[in-house]
Amino acid sequence: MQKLRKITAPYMLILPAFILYTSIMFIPALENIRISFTNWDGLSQTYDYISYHNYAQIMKDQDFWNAIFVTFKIVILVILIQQTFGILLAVILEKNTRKNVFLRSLFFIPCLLNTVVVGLIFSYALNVNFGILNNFFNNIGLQKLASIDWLGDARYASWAIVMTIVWQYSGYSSLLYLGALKDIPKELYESCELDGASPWQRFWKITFPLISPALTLNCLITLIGTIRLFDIPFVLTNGGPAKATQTIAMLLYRDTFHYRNAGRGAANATILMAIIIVFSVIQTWYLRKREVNM
Amino acid sequence: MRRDISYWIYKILKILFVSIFSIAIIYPLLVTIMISLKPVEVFTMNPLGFTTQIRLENYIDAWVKGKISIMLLNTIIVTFMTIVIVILFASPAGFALSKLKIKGEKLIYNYFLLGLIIPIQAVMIPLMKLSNMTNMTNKLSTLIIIYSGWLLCFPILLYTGFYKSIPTEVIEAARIDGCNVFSLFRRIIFPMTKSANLMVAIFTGMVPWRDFFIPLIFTTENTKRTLAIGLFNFQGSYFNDWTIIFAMVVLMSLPLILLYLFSQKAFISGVMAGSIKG
Repeated sequence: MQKLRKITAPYMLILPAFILYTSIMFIPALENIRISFTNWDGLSQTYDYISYHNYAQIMKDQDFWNAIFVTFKIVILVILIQQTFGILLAVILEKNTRKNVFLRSLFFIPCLLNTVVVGLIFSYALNVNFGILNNFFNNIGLQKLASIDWLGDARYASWAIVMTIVWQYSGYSSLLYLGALKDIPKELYESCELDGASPWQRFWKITFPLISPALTLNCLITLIGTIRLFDIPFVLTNGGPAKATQTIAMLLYRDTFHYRNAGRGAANATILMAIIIVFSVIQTWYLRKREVNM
Repeated sequence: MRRDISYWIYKILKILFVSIFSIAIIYPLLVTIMISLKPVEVFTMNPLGFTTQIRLENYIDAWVKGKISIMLLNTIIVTFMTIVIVILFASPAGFALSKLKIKGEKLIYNYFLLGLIIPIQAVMIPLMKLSNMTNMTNKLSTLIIIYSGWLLCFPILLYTGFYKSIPTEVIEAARIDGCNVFSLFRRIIFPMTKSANLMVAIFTGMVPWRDFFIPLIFTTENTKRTLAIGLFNFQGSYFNDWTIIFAMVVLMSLPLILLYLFSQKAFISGVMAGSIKG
């Protein structure tokens, strides 16, 4: 008995976590794929298998391709702007002076806020009549920009989403780059200084090449995190106007709860999961490759 | 040292960028706080400007009308229980995976790793089906179980890495003294991992405290909802009264920001740890 306990003990330590994870995540994820081949409405006891019909419907659906376009547009804009801001802030605030430490911890505050909170702040800040941004443009005399209805005009609504995400996560991004900057040997900068290089040259010749692995990694992290975007457009624009901010995750919410078509919602979720898995595999592959090189 | 024109241009651009960025971050937050303190009449006349007329009753209104008491309690219960369950389940698993001899260790590790890439939307519909079948909607325990299962994987990987850094001699000494695996873990290993526990607590706690997707789907009664969803519904019913909405916004955000100001290091490492999860 004592012996048996010794052998099984390690497994007993894993078992609770194993059961919880398997029943909440793993089995439901498989179940979701199964449901995606049915016409279940989300409520009734019975449903039929309809093979790949849901997927065929989705592929023919204009809304799906719109959601793919919207999602990737937001993802790409967020990556471009947020990584630029993140790198700039990290480079500028690199030295541990009191002012820099203060600013860094200040810029981190937005990412502690709840998405509903951020959504509400921005639905006020971007309001066309009394919002902060339009008011600001008005004050500095840029009437063209001041009359843009960020939340109500389909041409600009995705920019409103991008601004909100960038506002919330730039400080966070900069901390990820700060870690990479700390690893750059100081001698490189010193020898650069002796050669009389300008800050501009120093950035492109030394800093940028040396933080580019971190850049790739952060782009992948932002990509994987933003593809499943739901909360911000849900609160800020509710997918509108004219579906201009309807992401993939919002589409599957709509199919499941508004159209009462859980089968199709599940098919959408499966597609979303497949996209995320593809990019996660790329991320893992990249991390492994980098470990080998280092 | 030679300081030519490009140096000064760089200097000026740097200051300009940081100033604009600081204003862009702080100004919306300041406006939010200012509006939350204004009487409605002042707000309609002068929404963005400063004012000396302060109406603190906005906060009382928000607290009462927003039914914050019950939702705050729910949020605290759900957050706290999720943290406890995740630590109690993940820590032993991480310990076993890193320090004990088990067959298929790599396989189990990768199985948990897979949990990082399953998006919550992909399990939403089956979990909804399950909770309807078992009459588990509108229960705080449902939220706790879902959050725990969802957030469990990353802490397991974190603990596995953390325990690897603990010297094996400590364990062998305890073994020789006749400790079995369970008491070894409870008496020696668990107390050694305070910093990892704190990191996991912050990483885990941030999600139920702020999340709004899961309560949106699994609760329908206001008495069972958490703050995030409460705020969302509140702005639906008071959608023009920004003074009270923003009072609720400030009330909701304050606890986390205060905690952050007191333990910045722990918070930053806890939140950053989650970035690998994406």
